[in-house]
Amino acid sequence: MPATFGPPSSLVMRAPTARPNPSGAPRQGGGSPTGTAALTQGEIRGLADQVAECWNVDAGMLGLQEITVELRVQLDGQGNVRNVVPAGNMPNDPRVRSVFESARRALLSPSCNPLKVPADKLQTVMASTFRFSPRGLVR
Amino acid sequence: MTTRRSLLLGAAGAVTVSGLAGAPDAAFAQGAVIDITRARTNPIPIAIPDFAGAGDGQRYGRDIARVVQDNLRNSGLFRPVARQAFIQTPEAAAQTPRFQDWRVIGAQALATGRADLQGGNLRVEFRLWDVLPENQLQGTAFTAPIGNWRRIAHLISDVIYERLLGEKGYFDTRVVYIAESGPRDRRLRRLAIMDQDGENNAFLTDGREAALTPRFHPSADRVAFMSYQNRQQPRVVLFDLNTRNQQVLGNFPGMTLSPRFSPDGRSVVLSATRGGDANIFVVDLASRRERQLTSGGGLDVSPCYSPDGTQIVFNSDRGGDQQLYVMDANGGGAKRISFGRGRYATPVWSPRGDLIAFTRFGGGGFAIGVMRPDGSGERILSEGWQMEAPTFAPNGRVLMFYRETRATDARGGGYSAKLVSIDIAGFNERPIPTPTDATDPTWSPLLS
Amino acid sequence: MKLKFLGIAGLALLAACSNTDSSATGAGGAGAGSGNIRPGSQEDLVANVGDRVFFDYDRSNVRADQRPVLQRQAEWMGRYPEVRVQVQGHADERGTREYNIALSARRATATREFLIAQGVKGSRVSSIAYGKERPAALCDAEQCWSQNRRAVTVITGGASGIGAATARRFLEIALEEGLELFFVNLVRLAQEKLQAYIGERPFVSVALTDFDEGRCLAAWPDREVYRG
Repeated sequence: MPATFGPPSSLVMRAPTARPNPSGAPRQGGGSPTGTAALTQGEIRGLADQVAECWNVDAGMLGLQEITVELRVQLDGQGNVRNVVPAGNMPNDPRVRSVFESARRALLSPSCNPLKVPADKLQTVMASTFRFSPRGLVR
Repeated sequence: MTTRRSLLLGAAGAVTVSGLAGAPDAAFAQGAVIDITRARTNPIPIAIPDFAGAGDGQRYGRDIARVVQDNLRNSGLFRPVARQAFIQTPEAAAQTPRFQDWRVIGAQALATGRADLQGGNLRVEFRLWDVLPENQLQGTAFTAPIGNWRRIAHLISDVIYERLLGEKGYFDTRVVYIAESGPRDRRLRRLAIMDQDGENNAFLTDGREAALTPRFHPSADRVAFMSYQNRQQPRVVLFDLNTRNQQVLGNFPGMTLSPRFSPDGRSVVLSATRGGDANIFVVDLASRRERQLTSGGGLDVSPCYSPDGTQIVFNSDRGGDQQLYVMDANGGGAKRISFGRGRYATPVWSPRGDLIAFTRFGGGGFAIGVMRPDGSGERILSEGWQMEAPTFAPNGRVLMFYRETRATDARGGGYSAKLVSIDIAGFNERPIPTPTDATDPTWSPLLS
Repeated sequence: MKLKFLGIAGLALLAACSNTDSSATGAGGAGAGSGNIRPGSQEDLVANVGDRVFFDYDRSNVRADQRPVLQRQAEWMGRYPEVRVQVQGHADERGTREYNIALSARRATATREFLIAQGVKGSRVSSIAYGKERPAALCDAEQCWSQNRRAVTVITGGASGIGAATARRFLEIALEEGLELFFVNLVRLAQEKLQAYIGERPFVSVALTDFDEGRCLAAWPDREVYRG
């Protein structure tokens, strides 16, 4: 029987998904009330198109067409995704979890960062839900 | 993983928090829903450095990592990152990955491990990492006799496949097939077995009695196949893979052919001839009692159970030519499900239950395809001169079949028959290496 | 018909009766190329009767134009009542393995039933199906496929037309008509020569052998006495 085990102790103390700003210095900006302006339809479409380029799924997964996952992001002042969380609970079903993780990888992908967000709308994006459903699949 | 709520609490009252945009006003932002409904289907880029190890353990660590890499690449769903690009050394990565080093070379998943010899055993521990969120996804250790190092590699491959794709893998499996050699009018046909990647090939019979159409038992310890014994009528025999003993199944007056086990392993469904007809029978393995499931004047062959054991799909010419029919497992209510252009044969029901694979032919060519069990959604996966006999991997994601190549001269020179695998989505068709010509593959369930 | 000589013990050197290797037929064999076809043999069947019938694609009924061949086969089997045959059914490659085995079995059965309907005893005719696995012609065109959709009649026993009963009767007649003294002297002389050569007194018999099958039909003295 295989034995399972958790992360090595050298990593346990780190917050596993938070990453400090790579330049090392804390950033200001984006923290003002003006970051709450609503996104236009064009901006929503632009974000969706951008993220879709980085999203890869397994086309042969059973029931892929019926799966939807919703995620939220935390951004730094430049619109780089720093953290990704599920909008609800973390999925239990292995297939749904796999789609969730592929969506998370899309949002964290270096090719899709920074997100195309106007500097005055960072808050709005963080309050928004990224809803991934592979209905119109395969390009 | 920390939640958004706790981050908000952590940020409350601060103007800025280590690079994160200030949180307090987020509660007032009008969030939108951003719908992403398109996706690509590129394979997951995964880095698999050699597993670390001391002494001979290092050699096994390298070999195991290579087999894992080959398995994942051959599935078509993973793209191993080239070793030349690696920044962090395998030993360091096995201790603690520097995720930045892996992210920057394009890896999105990372598998690290170590292999240690303990007496006659090999102990291999490995970890699977999600590079972008910097998570460990899985940590597992395997111990086995050194000679079984390939099985450890296949088990690790299955763990990685399952954890990242959400479906069971298929790498810790074997394939039994018919090894063919010699001139086409006097072929030698032997039973053979190998790992799903073509390694560990062995011949199980000597070919004096021709063997055809083997099928695995759900426990993977036996197969049933058709044997031409002593130049008599061919009959279905049971063959024990460990003892190599074989025995004729059932007490039928005529020929028996195309056997397949039930999903619970307790019976064999097959076709038996009497007079000029061929009908489907079930033989209970414990009692050896036979029950007839179809009757009538047609040729009913190639039965296959659904994975829940409640239905049987089979091949019949009762309507005029070879088509596919589905009936209850007790023999009632046969309904035709194939309606495309051509004749249909060799139906097999996916272990996932969602598809039936088949051979279609007519109009000068053959094809391998899939359809839903009600006959809808027919898709052709591959076409050619002659090909036949699909078998599903146990996770229902990959099909193996055999493809014949036409002879180039009048004496049959240039003819060959080889095994091929393909993803059920229709991509990644690849040859499976065998020492001789090969036909009639049957894929075992997962061995563990 | 046991004789006093059967009291001879010794090695059971079964002379010609031990020959089961059909390749040892040598000069007495099939006569291929000699232009001398033995009546009641496979060559006779092939050359003078026709050993096979052909079928339409996907069909297993005996076509009207094929019936004369089977009628001649049935009549031929009537002339050689010792002969036993196997009807071997085949299919062409334009189909799948399992179904073609069943189809070729149906062809073999149809052929066999036709022979029986012509008066051949069922116990003399067995059948077997090879599907598409043993093509006779290897090109990828109708001229080869049509040759492969066939049922072939192959002799499995009694090829010489002489069976064990007939051979024993022949020996009985020969002994009654004065060959007994000749046989006795022949056997004794052979035993003496062989004993000088191998150091033991072997068992020697005169045997009637079917070379096609490599089978001893009858022997004198009757070797059954010395078995075991």
